[in-house]
Amino acid sequence: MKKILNIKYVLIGLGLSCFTVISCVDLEEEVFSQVTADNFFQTDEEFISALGAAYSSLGGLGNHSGLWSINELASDEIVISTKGGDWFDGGVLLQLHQHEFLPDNPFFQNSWNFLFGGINTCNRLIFSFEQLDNPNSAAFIGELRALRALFYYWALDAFGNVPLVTDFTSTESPGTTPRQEVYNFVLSELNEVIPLLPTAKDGTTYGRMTRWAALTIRMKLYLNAEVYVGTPQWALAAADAEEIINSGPYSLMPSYRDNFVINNAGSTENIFVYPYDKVFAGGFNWVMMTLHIASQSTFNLTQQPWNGYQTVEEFYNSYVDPEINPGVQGPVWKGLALEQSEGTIDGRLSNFLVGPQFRADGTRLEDPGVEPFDATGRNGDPDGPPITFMPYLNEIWPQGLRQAGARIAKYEFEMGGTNNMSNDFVIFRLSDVILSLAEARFRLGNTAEALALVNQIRDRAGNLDPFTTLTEENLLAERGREMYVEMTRRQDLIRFKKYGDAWWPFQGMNRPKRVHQPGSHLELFPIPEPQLLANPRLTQNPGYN
Amino acid sequence: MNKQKINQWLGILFIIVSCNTIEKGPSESDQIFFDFYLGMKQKDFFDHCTELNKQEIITQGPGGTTSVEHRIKDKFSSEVSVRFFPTFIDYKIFEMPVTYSFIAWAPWNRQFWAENLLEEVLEDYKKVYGDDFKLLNHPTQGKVYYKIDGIRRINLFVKDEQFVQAVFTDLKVEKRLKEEFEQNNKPEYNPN
Repeated sequence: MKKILNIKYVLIGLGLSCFTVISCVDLEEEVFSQVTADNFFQTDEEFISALGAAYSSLGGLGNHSGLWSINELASDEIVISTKGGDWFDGGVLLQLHQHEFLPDNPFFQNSWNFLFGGINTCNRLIFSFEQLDNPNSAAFIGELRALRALFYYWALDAFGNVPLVTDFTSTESPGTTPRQEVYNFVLSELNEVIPLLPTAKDGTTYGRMTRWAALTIRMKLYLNAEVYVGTPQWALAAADAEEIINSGPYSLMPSYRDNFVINNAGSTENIFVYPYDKVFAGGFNWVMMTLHIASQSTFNLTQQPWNGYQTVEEFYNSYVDPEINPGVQGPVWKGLALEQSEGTIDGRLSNFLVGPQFRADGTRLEDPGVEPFDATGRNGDPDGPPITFMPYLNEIWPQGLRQAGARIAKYEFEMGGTNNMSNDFVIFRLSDVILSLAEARFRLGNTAEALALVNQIRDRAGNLDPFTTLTEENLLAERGREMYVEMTRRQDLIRFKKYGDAWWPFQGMNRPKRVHQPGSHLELFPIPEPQLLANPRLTQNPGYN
Repeated sequence: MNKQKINQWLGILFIIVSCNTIEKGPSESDQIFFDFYLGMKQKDFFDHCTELNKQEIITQGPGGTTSVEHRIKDKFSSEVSVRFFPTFIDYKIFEMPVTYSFIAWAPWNRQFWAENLLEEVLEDYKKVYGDDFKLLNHPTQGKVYYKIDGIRRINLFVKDEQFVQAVFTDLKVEKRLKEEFEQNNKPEYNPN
């Protein structure tokens, strides 16, 4: 049987090559035999090995300060409160959550570099493959065009009007391309390459662009078409979703949690992933980003976590509140989490680490630097030194409590783990497609079918009652619970016209209830200032000048 | 030998043993930058990072091998981001991968590509670490500059269009790891 390289091993190989360029103690100058296009791209394995560089560009998704961070921190899911001397970082994190976007915020520059770094690598490989007189190259070029379409889809979603660059050899500085044209480009690229992409779901296509991954991008493009270009495309979104559901090789996992365990490569539901590896393909750092410094002792981690990312309390409450999320009632953690109270035991509460924390040996975890308690519970730690992750967030700044906020536990943490996680990062999965089909049908007026699809997701979640009616409100809430921290929430809030709402009280900050109106310029991030300074042909997004 | 002489000998012996076991401080060739050095204890590394963070010299980087970030505004032709995070062996710094990139990098801003930055970083490294870097042509990585002083090896090369990669390695530890690896992977003797 022909051996085909799995992209995971290609990424591992790339990780190794970074640091082993010279790995001998006794060094002499040596010119190795040259690898050129003429003698390298001969077999499928060699093409796939080269593709690894393009896929490794996705490795920035799972860490701090990039595209995932700007999407999540600007939504109602996640916040990083300033905790005394920690996490102020010049105010850039507060700006993101409060929708005070400034072009010099380095998170925008990092996101821009992530996107255009990926686009540039795709362009370079497409250019290289096009020079070859090799019949095998066409399929790989199609795959790269689909991956480049993904980067451009994210770019048009976040920044809207971006340069459209497809020629690696071009040395001309591009101007800004309007969002409509970027949308047209992504759509046209996907339309052309979808028929060329593989349909199998196995080790040869794991972590690579398939027909189903590309269809998912197009489905999401159509789902948000009204926001992107002003014309809704619900029927087209539904058609792509139906094809993935009916013809694709995917099915919902019996357990929601199993999509995110350390060894999640066996998920029947994940359509497109980035396969991280703690040793060779690092960069998935949620374990560091969200856990308390002292949580090192809970999981016997090799490094101290950073105590940053927390869940917004209202969002967490959307799981346990029986009014919003009806289902089996039982003990859950709410508010200050001094004791358990009754609430809905949604099976997806595995998304959170909440309540009293313990060391690996079972003893109570304590914070020696605990904030002194005051009777209001707002300015001090209500249970003293023991660490209890409480859903309650006392304030965003300046004295956010160090134990405040449910922590992101969607991906299983490894006992004895490092700062890098080995779980594969889910970019697209079937559940999102089912809920997208539900929404498209709902928008087209077919509420009964939409309701059945939503209840399919609720049934799998566990312990939940089916909805008896479907409204915009409970559809958005269900998407929120299911897709928590999967980089869909900001987009969903914009599409449901809720992005401008103030989602938690901002005590002491005199925030108005509605921060901005639907259609506000804040629905796009600003073009990063360093880019504008380096290329005068670029123009800033409206509203940021 | 009387008791007094025995005590004198023991005293001398104690001094000799003590002198031999006093831990040496880092030598010049162990140095990396910002007073980080090869062999630095993990706890000392984190304590020093905390101090540099208070001085607003470094901030939280993206993560992985780039967990720490430092911005250089005026040393190079444009502002540069430096990101690093060491690998620890036996709770001491064994290797320090470092990336450099122009803040204003973009596919179309060719003047900010890594191939240009590499030469600027090399010039800077020559001033700091000595100008006897050697050049090696690597089949996939292209130009790789390297320099060895004592136990420290510095590699410097273009990682991709955006990033210049530098790697500081403790050769003594690397050699030990290599020997351990070879020892553990020796084929078993099979006379048949």
